[in-house]
Amino acid sequence: MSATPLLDIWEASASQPFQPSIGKSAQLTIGFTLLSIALLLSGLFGLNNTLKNLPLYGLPASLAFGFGAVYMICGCGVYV
Amino acid sequence: MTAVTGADGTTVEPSQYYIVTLPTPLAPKEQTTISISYYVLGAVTPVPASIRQEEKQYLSYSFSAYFPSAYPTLKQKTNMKLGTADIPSYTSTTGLRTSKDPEVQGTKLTYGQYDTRVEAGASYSVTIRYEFTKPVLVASLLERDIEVSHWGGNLAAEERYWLRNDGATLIDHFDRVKWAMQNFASSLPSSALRELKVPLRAGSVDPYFTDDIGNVSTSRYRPGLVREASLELKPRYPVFGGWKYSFRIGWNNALGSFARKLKVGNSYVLSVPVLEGPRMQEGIQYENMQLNIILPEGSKITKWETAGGTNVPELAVEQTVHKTFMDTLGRQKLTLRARNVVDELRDVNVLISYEYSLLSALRKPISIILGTMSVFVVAWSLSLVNTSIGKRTKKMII
Repeated sequence: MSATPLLDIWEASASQPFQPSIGKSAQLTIGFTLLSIALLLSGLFGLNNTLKNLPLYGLPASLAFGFGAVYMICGCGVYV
Repeated sequence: MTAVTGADGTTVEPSQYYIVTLPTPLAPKEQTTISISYYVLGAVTPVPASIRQEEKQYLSYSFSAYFPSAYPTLKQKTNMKLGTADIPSYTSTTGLRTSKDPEVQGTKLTYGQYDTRVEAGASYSVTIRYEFTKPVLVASLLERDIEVSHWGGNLAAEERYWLRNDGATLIDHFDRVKWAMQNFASSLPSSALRELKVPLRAGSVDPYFTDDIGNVSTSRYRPGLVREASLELKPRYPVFGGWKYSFRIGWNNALGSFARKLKVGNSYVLSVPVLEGPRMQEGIQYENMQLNIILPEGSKITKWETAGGTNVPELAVEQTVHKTFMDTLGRQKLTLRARNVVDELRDVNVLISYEYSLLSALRKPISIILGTMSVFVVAWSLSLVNTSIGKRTKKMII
């Protein structure tokens, strides 16, 4: 079979294999750390849930929980 | 080469015609050599149809001593390589040749050479019967899933097989004691399927082998980091002729060896083999196969094609949406379906290019972040509600 355009593209990009942002071995550690931070910050927010604490604790807790959950599920073997 | 089909794209004729296009036109009086290879599926039948558990199995194959050709043939010869010298019966032709026909030499059986002119479409039916004490494996259906995860940097493969042995059935009931004796000297051949060896790419991890009951513990995985890894599966029971066994296997690979990022934009190219699966000396026929390639959520398929191999079957394509864990919109799923394929398809790769932007990659964490944030907001707003009984004594603290 003659060389096809997509095959050419594949051959041409041989030097750029896909690189994950976080390697497989680090996913569980990162996921666990982020989820612990999320738990800690939501606890702090729960102690004093005022409007001022919403961006101070709530926002970083949500961020940590969002990324932490994704890395945790990957680290546990469910690759989403 | 193109297949000649009827108006509805299928053929019901006894002969299937193909058009072979020569790279350079053949001038008058010139000669050329063409070699054609093809597979005939479901061509052999066990004779006798039922045997004892420890007996040898014989297969019968009927074909034409004349090569099926749409042109007059001047000279021809058919060689059969059977891999066994045990050929108890074969049709002897009369009047085709002055000397003995066919000639049998060891494991080879030869019809011809015929030096007489044979008209187009002529056939001379012959049948041979030879020993084949191995399973005749047919997969009535193979479903193969490839799931790409950019967050995990992983390519997950799962294959579900519906396997059948088309060999000779058992006359008596299955005898476990006899089977144990047959296996004690492990070299004794059997018409039953004992083991499947699945070659996996180097670096494959987390293999599993389950069936309807659950995990099948009679498997062994020989991982390979540099060389090919091997997954050795023993079915829950020996699969004799007429018996069936369905199971699923799966494994993980690093995405880096299957996907590459393009220099421009957010485009990626993915290259996966159409077929992996067991590699058996006797081969496996697949009546139906389905390959599902599930791309990350939010990606857009721009193009796909097959590359490599010589025997690409006709692939029916369908693009659907597949929803699984942590999905909000669902993922693009490309389904390729093929009928009547053979092991050789493992040389064929499917190449898919797709676009996957950072924003669609962040869809999962962002939706979780928004969800969590709204919980905090609700918690704060509920704290504003004064649930005390009696007169308000304090001012609301914000």
